[in-house]
Amino acid sequence: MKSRSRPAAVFRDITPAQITSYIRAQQWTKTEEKQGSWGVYVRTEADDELVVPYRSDFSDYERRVGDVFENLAIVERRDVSDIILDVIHANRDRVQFSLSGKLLGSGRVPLLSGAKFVGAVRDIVATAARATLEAKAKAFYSGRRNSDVESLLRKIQLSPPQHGSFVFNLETPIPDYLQLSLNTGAGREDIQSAGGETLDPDPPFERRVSVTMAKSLSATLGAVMDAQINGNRAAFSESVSAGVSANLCESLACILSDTPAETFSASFYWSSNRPHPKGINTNISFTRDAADILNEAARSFRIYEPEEDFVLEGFPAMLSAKDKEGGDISKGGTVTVIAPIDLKSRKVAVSLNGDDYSKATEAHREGQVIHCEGDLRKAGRTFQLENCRHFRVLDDTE
Amino acid sequence: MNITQQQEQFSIAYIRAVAATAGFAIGSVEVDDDSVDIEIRSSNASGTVSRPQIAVQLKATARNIVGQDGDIRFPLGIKNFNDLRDTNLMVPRILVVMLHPKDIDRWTDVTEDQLAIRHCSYWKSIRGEPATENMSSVTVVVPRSQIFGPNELTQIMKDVRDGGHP
Repeated sequence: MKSRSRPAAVFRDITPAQITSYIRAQQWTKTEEKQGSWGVYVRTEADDELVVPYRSDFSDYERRVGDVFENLAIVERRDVSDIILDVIHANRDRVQFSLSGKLLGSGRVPLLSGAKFVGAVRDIVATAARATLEAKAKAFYSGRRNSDVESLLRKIQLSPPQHGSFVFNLETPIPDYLQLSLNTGAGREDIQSAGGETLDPDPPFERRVSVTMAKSLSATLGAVMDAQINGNRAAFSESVSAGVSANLCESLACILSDTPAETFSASFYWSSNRPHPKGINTNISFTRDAADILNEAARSFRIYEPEEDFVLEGFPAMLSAKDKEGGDISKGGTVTVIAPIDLKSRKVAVSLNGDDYSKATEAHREGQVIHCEGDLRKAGRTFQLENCRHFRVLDDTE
Repeated sequence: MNITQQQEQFSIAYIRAVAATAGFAIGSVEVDDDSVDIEIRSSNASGTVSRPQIAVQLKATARNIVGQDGDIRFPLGIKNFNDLRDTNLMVPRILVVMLHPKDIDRWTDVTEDQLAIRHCSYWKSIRGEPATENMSSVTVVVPRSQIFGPNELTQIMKDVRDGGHP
């Protein structure tokens, strides 16, 4: 007999867990089950049912998954392809990044532009992760990324580009929302908002990074518009607490300057296996004309905003002039430390109290390295370390 | 349309008529190399699929394949045979063989009183049959008593609904 269409091969790659995670979030409840084989799910307001295979090794697994999607398409009044995307992403937060513009009509970008775009998106994610870990938002983040950030960057996946303008998705696996009580094993009550919506009381790091990214992009867009339209010169510095940073501004400026795009957009889609964050703008777009102001904001941040909690280690090369001449060091003074900053040797002026200054003087004589922490501020061509703390001289073993 | 396609459509029409009479819906027609031509299912008012459900491999022939004992002896391709005897299926599969006249003009008779379709379809489940060493085909014996009609389909679906197999 003649061949006709086959079930879509994509159904083979969809797991039972993905299906059940999605349909539970859509308020389908299980009414019947054949242990280890299949489960029947219904929605109370209708007779429709979904028979979900629990084993992907059934010989007719593809067809049975196809039946589930066929029913979902009827019930939800949507295309199967759209539902497939939602099911696949049920346990993932997805951020869709896209470039659009006349020069991108074919959906292609030059290789170098594409590489810069992806790199800038990586930096946006990394900045959001670092901001999530910090107790207080910073104007810029320097130094190495910590292991939590690196671990997250390895976990996030890039999904295949979509048809149309240059579009790709970042997918972050999000752990399931479990209702567990350590005491009784019974379900705990969901925390409800005033509007009766379920809130997530303890979102995992991965979800918090997605939220930080959305909030900081939205705040940056707000600062751009405030500066451009209202002429508010403090728009960016006023938005640091909302997640605006030099790092984020630089990444956005790179995308808008170094690709042919007229518009860069980020759209956020939350995993359905946890309560969705509320009150967050999930569709943010920047136009090319924002590039200059973003670059200027980044430059200003690095110049005028101190880098907090900076760790300074270097050689105390110079002391205050009077101390070189044998003056009174008991009242403290300023020492100039030669230390690496952004991979270059820089001079950093540090004001120390009497006790620390005495140690610094000794270290200077003995050629030893000192360690301290504080807020690093750029002053012309040199740097100053303010609010110095945890000063000590490193011994030879460190 | 060539004769093979006509046979195919004719046997599908038979299934549709039987299923409609018994109150069941027909799913989409699938490729033959997977040994599934059609699925018969219940459906709700909204159009969604519900249980029970069976998959049917359709065959049609005008040849005289009735054995001396009166049962039908159908030569089934090895791939079809192995697909139909598979026990690892969520939805049961059966074989339905339609015997029809050689003369196309005799396939149907239409009067004001009735539409007659000649001759008849018969069903068989070969689930769990032992493997064969044959290389090209296996002769499947389909009992003449297992006519595929509305009452028989209703019973098959009831057995499936109750957790059994045809």
